[in-house]
Amino acid sequence: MISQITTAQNKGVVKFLVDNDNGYFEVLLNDTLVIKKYKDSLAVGNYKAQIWSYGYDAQDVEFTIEKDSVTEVYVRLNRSTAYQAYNQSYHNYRVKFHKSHTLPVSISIALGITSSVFMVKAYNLQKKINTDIGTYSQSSSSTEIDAIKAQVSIDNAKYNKLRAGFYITSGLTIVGIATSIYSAIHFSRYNTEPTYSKESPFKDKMTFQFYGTGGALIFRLG
Amino acid sequence: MRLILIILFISILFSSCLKKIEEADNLNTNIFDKEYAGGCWFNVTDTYSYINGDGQTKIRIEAVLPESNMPGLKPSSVAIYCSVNDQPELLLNVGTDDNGNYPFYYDAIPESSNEYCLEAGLYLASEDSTINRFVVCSQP
Repeated sequence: MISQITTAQNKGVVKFLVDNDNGYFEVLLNDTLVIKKYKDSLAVGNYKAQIWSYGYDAQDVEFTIEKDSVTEVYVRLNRSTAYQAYNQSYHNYRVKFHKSHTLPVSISIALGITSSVFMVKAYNLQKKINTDIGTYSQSSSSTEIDAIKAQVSIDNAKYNKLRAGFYITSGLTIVGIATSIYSAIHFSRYNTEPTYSKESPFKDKMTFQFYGTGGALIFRLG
Repeated sequence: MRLILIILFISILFSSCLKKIEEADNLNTNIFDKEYAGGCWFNVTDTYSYINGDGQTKIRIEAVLPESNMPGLKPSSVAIYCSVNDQPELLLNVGTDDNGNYPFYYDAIPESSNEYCLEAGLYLASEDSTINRFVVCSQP
Protein backbone atom coordinates (compact mmCIF):
# COMPACT_ATOMS: atom_id res chain seq x y z
CA MET A 1 0.00 0.00 0.00
CA ILE A 2 1.55 3.30 -1.08
CA SER A 3 0.40 6.75 -0.10
CA GLN A 4 1.77 10.03 -1.38
CA ILE A 5 3.42 12.28 1.18
CA THR A 6 1.95 15.65 1.97
CA THR A 7 4.40 18.48 2.45
CA ALA A 8 4.54 19.91 5.98
CA GLN A 9 4.90 23.64 6.34
CA ASN A 10 6.82 23.89 9.64
CA LYS A 11 9.87 21.78 9.08
CA GLY A 12 13.42 21.39 10.20
CA VAL A 13 16.31 19.20 9.23
CA VAL A 14 17.77 16.28 11.17
CA LYS A 15 21.21 14.85 10.58
CA PHE A 16 22.08 11.46 12.02
CA LEU A 17 25.75 11.05 12.85
CA VAL A 18 26.02 7.32 13.50
CA ASP A 19 29.28 5.84 14.64
CA ASN A 20 29.55 2.24 13.37
CA ASP A 21 31.88 0.18 11.19
CA ASN A 22 29.76 -0.65 8.19
CA GLY A 23 28.36 2.82 7.36
CA TYR A 24 24.80 1.54 7.13
CA PHE A 25 21.98 2.30 9.53
CA GLU A 26 18.23 2.51 9.74
CA VAL A 27 16.22 4.90 11.88
CA LEU A 28 12.76 4.09 13.20
CA LEU A 29 10.95 7.32 13.99
CA ASN A 30 8.26 7.27 16.65
CA ASP A 31 7.92 3.52 16.18
CA THR A 32 6.27 4.03 12.80
CA LEU A 33 8.48 5.31 9.99
CA VAL A 34 11.81 3.85 8.94
CA ILE A 35 14.26 6.14 7.21
CA LYS A 36 17.59 5.04 5.78
CA LYS A 37 19.20 8.41 5.16
CA TYR A 38 21.67 10.35 7.26
CA LYS A 39 19.77 13.61 6.65
CA ASP A 40 16.04 14.29 6.35
CA SER A 41 13.44 16.99 6.70
CA LEU A 42 10.98 16.44 9.50
CA ALA A 43 8.05 18.34 10.91
CA VAL A 44 8.74 20.47 13.96
CA GLY A 45 8.33 18.55 17.20
CA ASN A 46 9.84 16.02 19.59
CA TYR A 47 10.83 12.63 18.29
CA LYS A 48 11.76 9.29 19.73
CA ALA A 49 13.84 7.14 17.46
CA GLN A 50 15.59 3.81 17.39
CA ILE A 51 18.78 3.50 15.37
CA TRP A 52 19.93 0.14 14.21
CA SER A 53 22.68 -1.27 12.04
CA TYR A 54 23.70 -4.75 11.06
CA GLY A 55 25.67 -6.29 13.92
CA TYR A 56 24.67 -3.64 16.45
CA ASP A 57 22.01 -3.29 19.11
CA ALA A 58 19.21 -0.86 18.30
CA GLN A 59 19.71 2.28 20.33
CA ASP A 60 17.04 4.69 21.55
CA VAL A 61 17.52 8.43 21.05
CA GLU A 62 15.33 11.47 21.47
CA PHE A 63 15.63 14.77 19.67
CA THR A 64 13.67 17.90 18.90
CA ILE A 65 13.19 19.44 15.46
CA GLU A 66 12.92 23.21 15.40
CA LYS A 67 11.68 25.26 12.48
CA ASP A 68 14.30 25.99 9.80
CA SER A 69 17.17 24.66 11.88
CA VAL A 70 19.47 21.62 11.62
CA THR A 71 19.48 19.16 14.49
CA GLU A 72 22.44 16.82 14.68
CA VAL A 73 21.90 13.50 16.42
CA TYR A 74 25.10 11.72 17.32
CA VAL A 75 24.81 8.05 18.15
CA ARG A 76 27.50 5.53 18.92
CA LEU A 77 26.17 2.04 18.32
CA ASN A 78 27.23 -0.88 20.48
CA ARG A 79 27.98 -4.29 19.07
CA SER A 80 25.24 -6.76 19.78
CA THR A 81 26.01 -9.77 21.97
CA ALA A 82 24.62 -12.03 19.27
CA TYR A 83 26.99 -10.53 16.71
CA GLN A 84 29.96 -10.89 19.04
CA ALA A 85 29.01 -14.52 19.60
CA TYR A 86 28.70 -14.98 15.86
CA ASN A 87 32.07 -13.32 15.31
CA GLN A 88 33.74 -15.59 17.85
CA SER A 89 32.08 -18.65 16.44
CA TYR A 90 33.00 -17.65 12.87
CA HIS A 91 36.60 -17.11 13.99
CA ASN A 92 36.63 -20.57 15.58
CA TYR A 93 35.14 -22.00 12.42
CA ARG A 94 37.86 -20.41 10.26
CA VAL A 95 40.61 -21.64 12.58
CA LYS A 96 39.20 -25.16 12.32
CA PHE A 97 38.87 -24.76 8.56
CA HIS A 98 42.53 -23.77 8.20
CA LYS A 99 43.62 -26.65 10.42
CA SER A 100 41.65 -29.20 8.46
CA HIS A 101 41.99 -27.76 4.94
CA THR A 102 44.70 -25.15 4.47
CA LEU A 103 47.37 -26.74 6.64
CA PRO A 104 47.29 -30.33 5.29
CA VAL A 105 46.84 -29.16 1.71
CA SER A 106 49.75 -26.71 2.03
CA ILE A 107 51.98 -29.37 3.55
CA SER A 108 50.97 -31.84 0.81
CA ILE A 109 51.74 -29.29 -1.90
CA ALA A 110 55.10 -28.46 -0.32
CA LEU A 111 55.96 -32.16 -0.10
CA GLY A 112 54.78 -32.75 -3.66
CA ILE A 113 56.94 -29.91 -4.95
CA THR A 114 59.93 -31.16 -2.93
CA SER A 115 59.37 -34.62 -4.33
CA SER A 116 59.28 -33.21 -7.86
CA VAL A 117 62.53 -31.33 -7.28
CA PHE A 118 64.18 -34.54 -6.08
CA MET A 119 62.77 -36.37 -9.07
CA VAL A 120 63.95 -33.86 -11.67
CA LYS A 121 67.43 -33.63 -10.13
CA ALA A 122 67.71 -37.40 -9.89
CA TYR A 123 66.51 -37.81 -13.46
CA ASN A 124 69.11 -35.36 -14.78
CA LEU A 125 71.85 -37.04 -12.78
CA GLN A 126 70.75 -40.45 -14.02
CA LYS A 127 71.16 -39.28 -17.61
CA LYS A 128 74.65 -37.97 -16.83
CA ILE A 129 75.68 -41.23 -15.14
CA ASN A 130 74.41 -43.30 -18.06
CA THR A 131 76.33 -41.07 -20.47
CA ASP A 132 79.48 -41.52 -18.38
CA ILE A 133 78.97 -45.29 -18.28
CA GLY A 134 78.67 -45.22 -22.06
CA THR A 135 81.92 -43.27 -22.30
CA TYR A 136 83.58 -45.77 -19.94
CA SER A 137 82.69 -48.69 -22.15
CA GLN A 138 84.05 -46.85 -25.18
CA SER A 139 87.33 -45.69 -23.72
CA SER A 140 90.71 -47.38 -24.17
CA SER A 141 92.52 -44.82 -22.04
CA SER A 142 93.22 -45.96 -18.50
CA THR A 143 93.58 -42.35 -17.29
CA GLU A 144 90.23 -41.38 -18.75
CA ILE A 145 88.64 -44.51 -17.26
CA ASP A 146 89.94 -43.61 -13.78
CA ALA A 147 88.44 -40.11 -14.08
CA ILE A 148 85.10 -41.43 -15.34
CA LYS A 149 84.86 -43.98 -12.54
CA ALA A 150 85.61 -41.39 -9.89
CA GLN A 151 82.93 -39.10 -11.29
CA VAL A 152 80.39 -41.91 -11.64
CA SER A 153 81.04 -42.94 -8.06
CA ILE A 154 80.35 -39.40 -6.78
CA ASP A 155 77.31 -38.94 -9.00
CA ASN A 156 75.90 -42.34 -8.15
CA ALA A 157 76.08 -41.67 -4.41
CA LYS A 158 74.29 -38.36 -4.97
CA TYR A 159 71.76 -40.03 -7.28
CA ASN A 160 70.91 -42.64 -4.64
CA LYS A 161 70.37 -39.90 -2.05
CA LEU A 162 68.07 -38.04 -4.44
CA ARG A 163 66.17 -41.26 -5.13
CA ALA A 164 65.73 -41.85 -1.41
CA GLY A 165 64.58 -38.25 -1.01
CA PHE A 166 62.14 -38.68 -3.88
CA TYR A 167 60.62 -41.89 -2.52
CA ILE A 168 60.35 -40.54 1.04
CA THR A 169 58.74 -37.25 0.00
CA SER A 170 56.46 -39.06 -2.46
CA GLY A 171 55.29 -41.34 0.33
CA LEU A 172 54.73 -38.40 2.62
CA THR A 173 52.85 -36.60 -0.17
CA ILE A 174 50.49 -39.56 -0.50
CA VAL A 175 49.98 -39.57 3.27
CA GLY A 176 49.42 -35.80 3.11
CA ILE A 177 46.80 -36.16 0.38
CA ALA A 178 45.02 -38.91 2.28
CA THR A 179 45.09 -36.79 5.44
CA SER A 180 43.80 -33.76 3.51
CA ILE A 181 40.89 -35.73 2.07
CA TYR A 182 40.04 -37.34 5.41
CA SER A 183 40.27 -34.08 7.27
CA ALA A 184 38.16 -32.22 4.67
CA ILE A 185 35.44 -34.87 4.84
CA HIS A 186 35.57 -34.94 8.64
CA PHE A 187 35.40 -31.16 8.79
CA SER A 188 32.44 -30.81 6.45
CA ARG A 189 30.59 -33.59 8.28
CA TYR A 190 30.92 -32.10 11.75
CA ASN A 191 31.10 -28.35 11.08
CA THR A 192 28.81 -25.83 9.46
CA GLU A 193 29.64 -22.26 8.72
CA PRO A 194 28.00 -19.93 11.26
CA THR A 195 25.59 -17.38 9.83
CA TYR A 196 24.28 -14.11 11.12
CA SER A 197 20.98 -12.66 10.02
CA LYS A 198 21.16 -9.21 8.42
CA GLU A 199 17.44 -8.85 8.71
CA SER A 200 16.37 -5.50 10.02
CA PRO A 201 14.21 -5.40 13.18
CA PHE A 202 12.27 -2.63 11.39
CA LYS A 203 11.37 -4.70 8.38
CA ASP A 204 7.66 -4.61 9.19
CA LYS A 205 7.51 -0.85 9.52
CA MET A 206 6.75 1.84 6.97
CA THR A 207 9.63 3.00 4.84
CA PHE A 208 10.14 6.15 2.88
CA GLN A 209 11.49 5.95 -0.64
CA PHE A 210 12.40 8.58 -3.20
CA TYR A 211 11.62 8.61 -6.91
CA GLY A 212 12.52 11.05 -9.65
CA THR A 213 9.24 12.89 -9.23
CA GLY A 214 8.84 12.67 -5.45
CA GLY A 215 8.65 10.09 -2.70
CA ALA A 216 6.43 7.40 -1.34
CA LEU A 217 5.59 5.76 1.91
CA ILE A 218 5.59 1.98 1.76
CA PHE A 219 3.65 -0.18 4.16
CA ARG A 220 4.42 -3.83 4.40
CA LEU A 221 1.41 -5.98 5.05
CA GLY A 222 1.72 -9.45 6.39
CA MET B 1 43.78 -30.81 -4.56
CA ARG B 2 43.98 -31.18 -8.32
CA LEU B 3 47.53 -29.82 -8.28
CA ILE B 4 48.54 -32.44 -5.72
CA LEU B 5 47.04 -35.24 -7.81
CA ILE B 6 48.88 -34.01 -10.91
CA ILE B 7 52.16 -33.88 -8.99
CA LEU B 8 51.48 -37.37 -7.64
CA PHE B 9 50.68 -38.73 -11.09
CA ILE B 10 53.86 -37.27 -12.59
CA SER B 11 55.87 -38.58 -9.65
CA ILE B 12 54.56 -42.11 -10.13
CA LEU B 13 55.17 -41.85 -13.85
CA PHE B 14 58.77 -40.81 -13.38
CA SER B 15 59.50 -43.03 -10.40
CA SER B 16 59.65 -46.05 -12.71
CA CYS B 17 62.60 -44.36 -14.43
CA LEU B 18 64.45 -43.71 -11.20
CA LYS B 19 65.82 -47.20 -10.71
CA LYS B 20 69.09 -48.10 -9.10
CA ILE B 21 71.88 -47.97 -11.68
CA GLU B 22 73.47 -51.39 -11.29
CA GLU B 23 76.22 -50.71 -13.84
CA ALA B 24 77.47 -47.80 -11.75
CA ASP B 25 78.37 -50.20 -8.93
CA ASN B 26 79.90 -52.72 -11.34
CA LEU B 27 82.04 -50.51 -13.49
CA ASN B 28 84.81 -53.06 -14.11
CA THR B 29 84.13 -54.51 -17.52
CA ASN B 30 86.64 -52.54 -19.58
CA ILE B 31 89.95 -54.37 -20.09
CA PHE B 32 91.79 -51.03 -19.83
CA ASP B 33 90.35 -50.54 -16.35
CA LYS B 34 92.87 -51.22 -13.59
CA GLU B 35 90.05 -52.82 -11.62
CA TYR B 36 88.92 -55.00 -14.51
CA ALA B 37 87.06 -57.99 -13.06
CA GLY B 38 86.23 -59.92 -16.20
CA GLY B 39 87.84 -63.06 -17.55
CA CYS B 40 91.04 -63.45 -19.50
CA TRP B 41 90.94 -60.91 -22.31
CA PHE B 42 93.03 -62.95 -24.79
CA ASN B 43 92.84 -66.45 -26.23
CA VAL B 44 95.73 -68.75 -27.08
CA THR B 45 94.88 -69.96 -30.56
CA ASP B 46 97.85 -72.25 -31.36
CA THR B 47 101.08 -73.58 -29.93
CA TYR B 48 103.58 -75.31 -32.14
CA SER B 49 107.29 -75.84 -32.68
CA TYR B 50 109.19 -74.69 -35.73
CA ILE B 51 112.71 -74.00 -36.90
CA ASN B 52 113.54 -70.39 -37.53
CA GLY B 53 115.87 -68.90 -40.14
CA ASP B 54 118.88 -69.38 -37.88
CA GLY B 55 118.14 -73.10 -37.65
CA GLN B 56 116.95 -72.84 -34.05
CA THR B 57 113.89 -74.72 -32.80
CA LYS B 58 111.30 -72.39 -31.27
CA ILE B 59 107.91 -72.87 -29.75
CA ARG B 60 105.48 -70.35 -31.09
CA ILE B 61 102.48 -69.51 -28.92
CA GLU B 62 99.92 -67.65 -30.97
CA ALA B 63 97.23 -65.62 -29.21
CA VAL B 64 94.60 -63.10 -30.09
CA LEU B 65 92.84 -60.26 -28.35
CA PRO B 66 89.34 -60.61 -29.81
CA GLU B 67 87.65 -57.50 -31.09
CA SER B 68 84.66 -58.31 -28.85
CA ASN B 69 86.80 -57.86 -25.72
CA MET B 70 87.85 -54.37 -26.75
CA PRO B 71 86.06 -51.14 -25.78
CA GLY B 72 83.73 -49.45 -28.24
CA LEU B 73 86.28 -47.01 -29.63
CA LYS B 74 89.01 -49.34 -30.86
CA PRO B 75 92.59 -48.11 -31.08
CA SER B 76 94.63 -48.98 -34.16
CA SER B 77 97.13 -50.79 -31.98
CA VAL B 78 97.49 -52.09 -28.43
CA ALA B 79 100.68 -52.39 -26.37
CA ILE B 80 100.90 -55.86 -24.81
CA TYR B 81 103.61 -57.04 -22.46
CA CYS B 82 104.04 -60.80 -22.58
CA SER B 83 106.31 -63.63 -21.60
CA VAL B 84 106.26 -67.43 -21.53
CA ASN B 85 107.22 -69.27 -18.35
CA ASP B 86 110.29 -67.43 -16.98
CA GLN B 87 111.60 -66.33 -20.34
CA PRO B 88 112.26 -62.61 -21.07
CA GLU B 89 109.30 -60.24 -21.36
CA LEU B 90 108.50 -58.63 -24.68
CA LEU B 91 106.59 -55.46 -25.36
CA LEU B 92 104.51 -55.95 -28.49
CA ASN B 93 102.70 -53.25 -30.38
CA VAL B 94 99.80 -55.22 -31.79
CA GLY B 95 97.67 -54.01 -34.70
CA THR B 96 94.39 -55.37 -36.01
CA ASP B 97 93.84 -58.07 -38.60
CA ASP B 98 91.12 -58.10 -41.27
CA ASN B 99 88.50 -59.13 -38.70
CA GLY B 100 89.33 -56.34 -36.27
CA ASN B 101 91.06 -58.74 -33.84
CA TYR B 102 94.50 -58.10 -32.36
CA PRO B 103 96.70 -61.20 -33.01
CA PHE B 104 100.12 -61.60 -31.34
CA TYR B 105 102.61 -64.36 -30.65
CA TYR B 106 105.59 -65.24 -28.53
CA ASP B 107 108.49 -67.39 -29.76
CA ALA B 108 109.66 -69.34 -26.75
CA ILE B 109 112.74 -71.47 -26.23
CA PRO B 110 111.76 -75.13 -25.96
CA GLU B 111 111.55 -76.39 -22.39
CA SER B 112 111.65 -79.88 -21.00
CA SER B 113 108.29 -79.53 -19.26
CA ASN B 114 106.67 -79.06 -22.67
CA GLU B 115 104.10 -76.74 -21.08
CA TYR B 116 104.16 -73.13 -22.12
CA CYS B 117 102.31 -70.59 -20.02
CA LEU B 118 101.77 -67.33 -21.84
CA GLU B 119 101.43 -64.38 -19.44
CA ALA B 120 100.17 -61.18 -21.05
CA GLY B 121 99.17 -57.79 -19.72
CA LEU B 122 98.14 -54.47 -21.22
CA TYR B 123 100.94 -51.94 -21.09
CA LEU B 124 100.18 -48.38 -19.99
CA ALA B 125 102.84 -46.13 -21.50
CA SER B 126 101.71 -43.14 -19.39
CA GLU B 127 102.40 -45.04 -16.18
CA ASP B 128 105.00 -47.44 -17.52
CA SER B 129 103.14 -50.34 -15.96
CA THR B 130 101.19 -53.40 -17.00
CA ILE B 131 97.62 -54.09 -15.94
CA ASN B 132 95.28 -57.05 -16.08
CA ARG B 133 97.85 -59.81 -16.46
CA PHE B 134 96.51 -63.24 -17.25
CA VAL B 135 98.24 -66.58 -17.78
CA VAL B 136 97.13 -69.24 -20.23
CA CYS B 137 99.03 -72.50 -20.47
CA SER B 138 99.19 -74.73 -23.51
CA GLN B 139 101.21 -77.52 -25.05
CA PRO B 140 102.46 -77.81 -28.64
